[in-house]
Amino acid sequence: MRNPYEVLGIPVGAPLEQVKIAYKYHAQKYQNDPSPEAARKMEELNQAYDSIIMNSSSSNTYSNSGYTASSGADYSDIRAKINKGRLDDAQILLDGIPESNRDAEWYYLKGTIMQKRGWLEEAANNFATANRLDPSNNTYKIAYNKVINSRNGGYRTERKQSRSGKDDDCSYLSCCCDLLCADACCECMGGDLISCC
Amino acid sequence: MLGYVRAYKPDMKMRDYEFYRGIYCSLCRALGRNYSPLAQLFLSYDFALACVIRLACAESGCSFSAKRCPYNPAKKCLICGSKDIFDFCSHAVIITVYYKILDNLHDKGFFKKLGAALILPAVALMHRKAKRLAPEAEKAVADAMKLQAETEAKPSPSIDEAAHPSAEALGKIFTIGASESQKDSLRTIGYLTGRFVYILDAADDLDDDLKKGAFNPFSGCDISSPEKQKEFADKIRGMLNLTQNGILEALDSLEIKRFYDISENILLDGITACAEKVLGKYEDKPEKKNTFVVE
Repeated sequence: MRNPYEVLGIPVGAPLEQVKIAYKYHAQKYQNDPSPEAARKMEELNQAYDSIIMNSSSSNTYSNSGYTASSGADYSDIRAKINKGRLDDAQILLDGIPESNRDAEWYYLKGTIMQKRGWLEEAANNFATANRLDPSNNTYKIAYNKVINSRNGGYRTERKQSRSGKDDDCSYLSCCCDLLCADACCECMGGDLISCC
Repeated sequence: MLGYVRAYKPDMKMRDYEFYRGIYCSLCRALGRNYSPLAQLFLSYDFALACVIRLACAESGCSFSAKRCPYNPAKKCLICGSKDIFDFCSHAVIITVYYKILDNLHDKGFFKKLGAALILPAVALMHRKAKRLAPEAEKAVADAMKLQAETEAKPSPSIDEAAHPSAEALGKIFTIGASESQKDSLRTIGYLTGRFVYILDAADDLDDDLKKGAFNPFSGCDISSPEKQKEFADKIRGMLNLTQNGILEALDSLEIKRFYDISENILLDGITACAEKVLGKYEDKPEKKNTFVVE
């Protein structure tokens, strides 16, 4: 498959608005043409458009260097398969992409599959590679930081804190409440605990 | 499983501890009822986790009644009424014990071999019954043993690869009979618990295996000097933490109807305490017996 930006006739990395305008312009041209050549071109145009939209929804930074000719369209399919839980199919598709074409997204998806399978060390390595290849991407960074945090046992302290927070009834606020209640009780009986209220 | 998965008593409520003991006792009873007093010798706290999780997800609640224990008549223990769950877990115990003994038979140590050979006929008899009553569990464990042998024959399998067979078997045992919506979470809890135990056991046996030249997924690691040992312990701790976080996330996604505190205690504090005990061996922290430190 050709570079989708080339198919649409716009510079690589063009903003989405421009992509949509270019798509509309070409689509109208091909739709009015009944020849089989135009039908083929229309299909190519649809694929190119889909692949750009899919990529931009996962990562806002779409750099030319990270782009590989065959990857864009395939990733959306792989992502859909992962979401449906068809990990074997997704892995076969992913492994089918030659090593020279593997970008940060590839390693991120591979990490996701491995994590779902429970192969956590391999998942961690893949997330680390994804983060190294594209440090500006937030999704990769979050996945990688989560691994680091879990390795250090961060989840344990979080859980302990939330647990002790639940049991802790003697906060400052409830102390004040108790005092006010006591004061009210005293006043009922004619006495006074806190003279100012 | 090898006694690594148990509750951490100091952090447990008394009520939870009583129930946990009761679940353990009920499993012991099921083993005696379905098999023989010999089978009760194979009881370990590890399988109590499988019972706890099953009870926790069961549609209907369960009742406990105080009964006397034949081995300790002075003390009454709580016996749970959910017979099906304990019967299934008792079959699973026998199946895993049978394959463990078969595995020991190929071990290099003479006494281990002898012990296994002596006990095998009796266990094989029990295994025949377990196989008939729990065919799915039997298949899961048998497949795992085959795959494990294949993996160990590879030149240098990664830890993920090496841990996969036993983890997968436990994952399958956890999902048997579960409702469709719960299966994913249960599989993950079982899979990752199996993985945790495998990694911990491999780390525990590393020094022995290096001496004997037996298979160990960490045999490439250097533990010749105290600094290297500390490094090794930290690496293992990282792996275990990563696994444990996965278990706890799966536990949170599970629809638990009861015994959440017990499950969390086992999977958070219990296995951590066991891991620290094992890793302490490599960190030059001599364990002081009968001494408790309050900081």
